[in-house]
Amino acid sequence: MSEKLRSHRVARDFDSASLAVLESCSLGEVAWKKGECILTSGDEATRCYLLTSGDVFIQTTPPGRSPTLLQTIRGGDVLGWSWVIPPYRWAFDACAATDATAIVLDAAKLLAASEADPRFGYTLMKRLFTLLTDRLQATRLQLMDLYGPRA
Amino acid sequence: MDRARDPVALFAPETREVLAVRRETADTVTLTLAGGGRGFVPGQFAMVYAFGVGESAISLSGDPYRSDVVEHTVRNVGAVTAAIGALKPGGVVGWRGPFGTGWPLVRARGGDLVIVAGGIGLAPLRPVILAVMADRGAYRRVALLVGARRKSELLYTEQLAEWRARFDLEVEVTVDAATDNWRGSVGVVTRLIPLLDVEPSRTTAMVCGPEVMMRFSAKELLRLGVPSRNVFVSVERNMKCAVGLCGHCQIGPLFACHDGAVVPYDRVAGLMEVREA
Ligand SMILES: Cc1cc2nc3c(=O)[nH]c(=O)nc-3n(C[C@H](O)[C@H](O)[C@H](O)COP(=O)(O)OP(=O)(O)OC[C@H]3O[C@@H](n4cnc5c(N)ncnc54)[C@H](O)[C@@H]3O)c2cc1C
Repeated sequence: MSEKLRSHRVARDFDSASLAVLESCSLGEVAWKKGECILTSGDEATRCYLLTSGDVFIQTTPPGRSPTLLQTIRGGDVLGWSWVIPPYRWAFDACAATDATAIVLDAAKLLAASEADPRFGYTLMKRLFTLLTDRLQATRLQLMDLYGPRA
Repeated sequence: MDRARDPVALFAPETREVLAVRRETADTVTLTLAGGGRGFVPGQFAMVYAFGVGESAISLSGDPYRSDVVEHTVRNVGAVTAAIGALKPGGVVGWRGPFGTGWPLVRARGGDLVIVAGGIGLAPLRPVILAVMADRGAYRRVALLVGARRKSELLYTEQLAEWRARFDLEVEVTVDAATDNWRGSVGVVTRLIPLLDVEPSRTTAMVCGPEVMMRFSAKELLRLGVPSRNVFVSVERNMKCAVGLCGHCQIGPLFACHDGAVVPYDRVAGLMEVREA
């Protein structure tokens, strides 16, 4: 388990002290079957998932319609950011697109550890920010017609 | 005189009959034309002439080992491509080629190979995949990443399904918008690159699509650790003469038709960032 956590993209650049704190926030691993619902928008965001294998759909369900798939995230990605900022509620739904596994981190512990140890908190936030920036850039590209004749 | 060196022959199209037309998407067809590809290398293109309308550079998209026919996949974006796309079996086009540089298949041997295609960019890469499959043992891991706007804009869907079923080829297809009951990956093709299971220093990457897509794909490949000299892109600037004379397709010091269309990314990285007037 700790090996999986150490080799996850989130833990890249963590020194051993920060890794130890990260490990202390772990609740272990979880496995989902294809189609299983993982997060529901509006629910309290108490966990952060570090995907280790498989694919997960981020989706939203407009009233009276079937879910709209917005993005696929994969092994190596982070699932769920809403635990970082108030009101600590999931903004979207997430479902397993394939069988998938993740390391589960306790959001309250992560936030408390960040407050208590700003060095750890800063390392964690920098890493999350990097991954979030990647996701934002990809979302921008997704919004333009990247493959169109005039891209 | 050797046709490739004969300046008159380079400008004189030969007439080729359309043998078959396959609709790929609402605006794209694949034409099978009679006559071989004159030993074309994957990545090369021909100038295809719609009589009375004009001529366009169109990549060879078929099997490089077939000597009886050539294939071209054409997306309708204007007058010439509309006229080519409207052809029926029995129709004729003018054809001259093959022109330009090819993908570095020989150089890629013995290493990992990553092929990244966006939209119509899969057309010039299809001969690469067919060539690699005919000589699969020469390469280590081979990954094909395909991006399209939506499911209905994917090319070669039957062949993609066949390729996906193979164990010696990793195929990932992703769309921007999950319409038409799409249940596969959603997101841009560049997002698939950081998750590739390859040895970056031994990887050759071949990227084709619109320039923005190639630029962002190349950036991700470099970030993964693939050396910039091993990343190749196809610079498909609008061209006229196709033989490095008229300058229509010039990008900085390069003539895309002559020095390209396939070039190492490090030769064009700066130029691809420059806006055209
Ligand atoms: C080496 C090379 C290989 C190509 N391979 C293929 C292929 O396999 N299949 C295919 O469908 N097309 C391919 N193209 C693009 C094709 O040549 C153009 O789409 C075509 O010439 C447009 O002519 P048109 O008269 O139909 O449209 P036009 O009226 O000339 O152009 C319509 C619109 O498309 C834009 N456009 C034209 N040419 C290009 C281009 N090269 N890149 C980006 N935008 C362009 C124009 O700016 C305009 O906005 C290739 C181009 C090159 C240079």
